[in-house]
Formats: sequence, C-alpha cells, structure tokens
Amino acid sequence: MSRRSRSSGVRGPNSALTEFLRNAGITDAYRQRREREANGEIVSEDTSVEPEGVNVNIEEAEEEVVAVEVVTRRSRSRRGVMAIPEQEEEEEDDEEIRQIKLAARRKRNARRGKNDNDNADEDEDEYDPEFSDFDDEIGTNGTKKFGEEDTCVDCGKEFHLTVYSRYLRDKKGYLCENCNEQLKDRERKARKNQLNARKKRRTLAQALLNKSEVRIPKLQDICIKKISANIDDVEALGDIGQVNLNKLSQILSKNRSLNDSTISLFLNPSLKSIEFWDCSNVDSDSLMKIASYCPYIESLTLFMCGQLHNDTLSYYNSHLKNLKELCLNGPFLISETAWQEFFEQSGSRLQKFEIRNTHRFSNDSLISLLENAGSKLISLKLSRLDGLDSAAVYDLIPHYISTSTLTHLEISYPHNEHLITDDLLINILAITGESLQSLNVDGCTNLTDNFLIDGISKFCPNLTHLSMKLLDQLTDKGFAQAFTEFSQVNNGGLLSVDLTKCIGLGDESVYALFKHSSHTLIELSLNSLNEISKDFLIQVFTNDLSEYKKSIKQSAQDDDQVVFYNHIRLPLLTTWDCGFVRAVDDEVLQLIGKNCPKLSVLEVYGNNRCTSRAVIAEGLMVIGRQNDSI
Amino acid sequence: MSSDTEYVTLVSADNHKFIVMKEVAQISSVIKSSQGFQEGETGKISLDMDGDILECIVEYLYYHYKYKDQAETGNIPEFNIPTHLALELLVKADFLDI
Repeated sequence: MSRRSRSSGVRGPNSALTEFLRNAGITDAYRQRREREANGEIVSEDTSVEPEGVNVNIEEAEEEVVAVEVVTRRSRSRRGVMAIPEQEEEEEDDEEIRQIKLAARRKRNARRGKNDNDNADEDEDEYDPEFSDFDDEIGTNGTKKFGEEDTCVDCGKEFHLTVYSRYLRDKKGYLCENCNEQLKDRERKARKNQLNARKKRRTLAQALLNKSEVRIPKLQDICIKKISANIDDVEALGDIGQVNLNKLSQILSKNRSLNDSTISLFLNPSLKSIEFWDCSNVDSDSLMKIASYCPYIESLTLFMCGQLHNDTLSYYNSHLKNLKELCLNGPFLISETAWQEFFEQSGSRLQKFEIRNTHRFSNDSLISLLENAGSKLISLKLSRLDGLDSAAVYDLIPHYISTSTLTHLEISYPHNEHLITDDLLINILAITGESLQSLNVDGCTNLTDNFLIDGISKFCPNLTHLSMKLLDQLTDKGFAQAFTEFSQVNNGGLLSVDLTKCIGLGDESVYALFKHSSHTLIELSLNSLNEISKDFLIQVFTNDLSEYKKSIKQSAQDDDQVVFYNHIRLPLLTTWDCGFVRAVDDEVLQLIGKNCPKLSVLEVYGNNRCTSRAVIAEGLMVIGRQNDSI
Repeated sequence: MSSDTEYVTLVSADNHKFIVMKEVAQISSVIKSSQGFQEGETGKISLDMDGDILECIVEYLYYHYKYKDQAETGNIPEFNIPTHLALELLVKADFLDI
C-alpha cells in the first residue's frame, strides 16, 4: 500500500513506525526473496497479496518493536550518514529486527488462515501480547479455529473453542470452560494468599516496632476499648478497681482522649494518688477539680500540663493539705512568683519533686524549693529547665539536702553543659550517695571520668539505676577503673544502666560493668558504643572451657596485645539496646541468645550485619533489623 | 492436667451451668490452677458472677481457643461485647486473668 500511495500522492492514516520504515526505505521485499530462495519454493499466494502483507507486517512489527525501537533508531542514524543502498543495508540490519519481522510474518500467515471465517478487522482487535506465542503454535500445528470443537488438555472433554478459551503453553492446548474456571479460581486464591502473606509480614513488622507481639487481645483489653469508646455515656465507672481505673486512664492518655469530660470519671474522694500522663486537652478549671474532688491526694502526677495556671497551683496549695509528691511535665504557665508562693506554703510537706520542660522555673525558684523543702526531699528530678542558668545556684544543692536522704536524683539536660560539673556531683554524692538508688545525669556533657572515679565509685553503695546518656567525655580506661573500684563499695550490682552515646567507652568499660553487675542487670543500653569489638563480644559470651578460649588465654599470656575476657552470663537481663554497636552481627546475636536466658527485647538498629538469617533464641524479640522493614 | 474428663462445668452465681472443654477453660490461669483442688475432682467450678457475664466469658474463651493460632495473620474477627456489661466484665476478666 505504501508504495502505491506514494505514486498516487494520497495516503490514509498510518502510524509513526510505518512512516519511519517507509522513510528509511525498509521493505520486506528483500527478506521475502531470500526466504523464497532459502526454501526453494515459491508460494504464489504470497506474492499475489504482497503489498497488503507488507502493511500488516509493519503494523504488527510496530507492536512488538517498541522495546527495541532504540536499536532501530540507531540504525537509522547510521543509515542517514552512510546512505548505504537498501539491500546491502538490510543484510547488515540487526538480527533482532529480523527476528521480530519473522515473528510478525508468521503471525500474519496464521491470521490469513483464519481469515477464511473471520473478517480481518476483528482479528486486529483480538490480538493480545499475552497470547503472542499461541499464534505460533497454531501456525505450526495448523489446528483449531474459534467455534470448532476441541479437546480440553486438562480433563479431556470435548468443548467449543471460543475467543475466551485459555491456551496453556506448557500443555500446548486449550482448556475447556470448567477447567478454565477452576484455574482462575486457583489463581485468585494464590493471589489472595500472597496478599495475606504480605499483610501478615506487615502486621508483624509493625508489632515489632511497638515492641509487642501479635496475639489475641485479652478480654480486659477488649472491655477497656469498649469502655473508652463509650466513655461519654458511662455515668460512673463504679467499682472496677483502682488498677483497672489507672489502666483506663493510661489508655485514654495514650489515645489523647483525656479531656474535661472524661477526667472527672477518675476523680474520687478516696484517692491518694493520681497520674494523668497527657493533660493537654484538660483546661485549668478541670485541673482545679482534682483538688476539689480529691482533697486527700498525696501524690500528683500531671504530664503535658501546659494549661496549668498560677491560680490552679495556688488552689492546690490551699486545698491539697496532704500533698507530698508532685511531678509536673511542661507547666510553662506557672510563673516564678507562683512557684515561690507554692514552695513557701507547701514546701515543708514535699518529699518528691519532679519538674521538666519549663523555662519559667528559674534560679530563684530552685533556691526557694531548696530552702523550704531541701532537707526533706527524698526524690528530686530536674530536667530541661532552661530558666536555671546559674552554676552557683546548682552548687547550692549540696548545702540544702540532708545527709543520706535522697533516693532518686535526676539532673538532666541542663541549659548549658557548664552548669553541671564533676565537683557539683561529687559534692552531692558525698552527702547523699549512701541512700541514692537511682541517678540520672543524661546530657550533662561536661562530666568526665572524675565524676565516676571520685563520685559514684566512692559514695554509692546502694545505687541500682544509673543513666548517663550522651556523656561523651568518659573514657574507656576511666570507666573501667571506676567500676573496678565501684565493686569494692557496691557489691549489690546495678539493675539498669543506660550508657547511650557515651561514645568514648569500649570493651574494657563494658567488661568492667559486666564483671560488676552481670548477675543483676535487667535493663541495659549500650547504644552507639561503636568501639566495642566483635572479638570482645564473642569472648565474653563463649565458655571459658572451650578450645577457642583456651587458645586465647594461652596467647594472652605470651602476647600483651591479646586480651583475655572471662565468660559472662546475664541471667536477668530482659531489655538490651545495642543499636549502632556495629560489631553485633548474626553470630553475636546467637551467642547473646544463649547467654541471656531472660532477654526478651534486643534492639539492633543500625547493625546491618544482623540479618534474617540470625539464629535467635526463643522468646527473644530482635528489633531493628533491615529485613523487618514494613 | 491428665484427667478422665475432657470437660468442666462452670457454674454462675445464679446457677447457670456452662459445660466447657477443659482445654478451653484452662486458658484462664485461675481456672487452670483451681484444678488441683476440690474443683479438679468434681469438675465443677463455681464462679461469683452472673449468667450473662459468664456466657460472655465462655464465648471469649472459645474465641481465644479458635483463633489463637491465627493471631499473627492479623485478620481475626473482632470480639464483640455488649456495652452494658463492659464494666463488670472488665472486673471479672481481671479476676480470671484473661
């Protein structure tokens, strides 16, 4: 058609590829001739319909050729430059293109066979890349047409072949309708299973992130869910027990649904202690209700209490006569004078005081607290108080606290690091170290080894909880020395230790820590202690009697470079964060599992040598491996 | 655990009786531990709760029994409880540790 149209000057619509092939002067005349020569037989029919054949050929080749169009383009540019005569050029043409054309030609032949019954247009429409091979087969077998009887390759029954019949490549035949339905069903199921498996993986990964296991909800959880959904309708929660009430309030806080209406459900005159972990939706009037409904409260914990006003605090001051413990997080509306007033009136009763996240708690407020309550305090927690910016005021702490009374002390994330010095903490510990059970100095980045050596290791015989995140000035040697000395003073052992991002620490410190507290440790964080070596971890978790350890012991005696570490077991350890300790890999994971029988949560974020292939002890949840991603 | 009877009878305060598979009843650790005592011999366990509450609890126990292996897939149906029983059920569920 193309040649004819060129002569007449009239052309019908044609595709870009047809245009291109025509411009490039590509016809299949040459290929046809060669084929004839090769076969040695001349199909007269073929020659008679040739012009039409060319067109179909081109159009069909187009459908297949998309992927290799680039190749074709390249050959075009070559052609443009060199202007090789058409026939020679054809010879050089890519093998690929020839293949495509060949396939297209076979298809055309097959179609021509069918054209006896169907008309050509329909044929065009039903072409489907998925069935591209099927035409070949038909062509070679020269078999059935649509509408004819065929035998099902699966069940062997006779059936009428239709356009919807499915061709099975591996069995080289069609399926009858029933078998096709069954096959479709199976495929659908397989797809569903695949989806389910994906969903399962996702739920598991999600649960892992929440540090929970996927399990059937407890009936209690279901009830609490139901109650919190209907909380507005429940007049009085009645007698469900304080434990459940607390649980409910925690759940409401977690859902951020504790508000003015729900808060009154938890207020009960007999209460002695109240904990609300998210008061952001509770306004100051409702907070006042706490004091009017529950006048006998001894312990009050309000977190996210940004709506707590001066007058609310003074109302507490005048109504809560038994208040001994006050923990506030984020009370940034309370002014200096209000604090002063509060401490002057209620300070003498206070035993526990915790305040976090407010810039209005100033130097004077702390002085006032110390003057009025300092000597009786058994728990003092000061965290992220940007208003406290005088080192001299911090230095007053040791002067006001009385000997051996404080059991919990937290001074964390000060306004700037120079406020908290080694000397300050050593002074405090010298006074009250004996009674201290928990010490938290997170983010006091000015602290050095001296604080450990002259402070903790000398004065803290009863310490069980130690948290010192981000103390980057601590050194491996200093920590190890301090803990070796510490074991002289404190032979009880620590229960929880947080050394997150104390990046100076390494094998020796961890070994000293294990030596001292391995039998008591329950929680441990060595996050980002990148200096820890794999060799150390393997030694520590391998039995001393093994051949490997014996040989190390031997070589340690001969060679100063080699260090021998004894076998350590951590019988009580339940939570361990060893994220970004790159030495932890699959092998170490397995050893950890063997030596920490109680371990249930192990975090390995950033340790990309921990893979899905690791052998993990039963009951241990390993969080943060790359393959767990959702 | 090894007993002739595979079933136990849970009796409510208002004398409704629920005959439950032992394995199912023992999902509750409280019921499980009561087996060592007189309740273990008679196969009868009296519980201080009303019939409608106990019915709910038995339903839950079977729900738990049925779906405990499928929990991981995350597509187990939700267990529904009547709203008006929620509070009391919570207390009893707490008691039975389920």
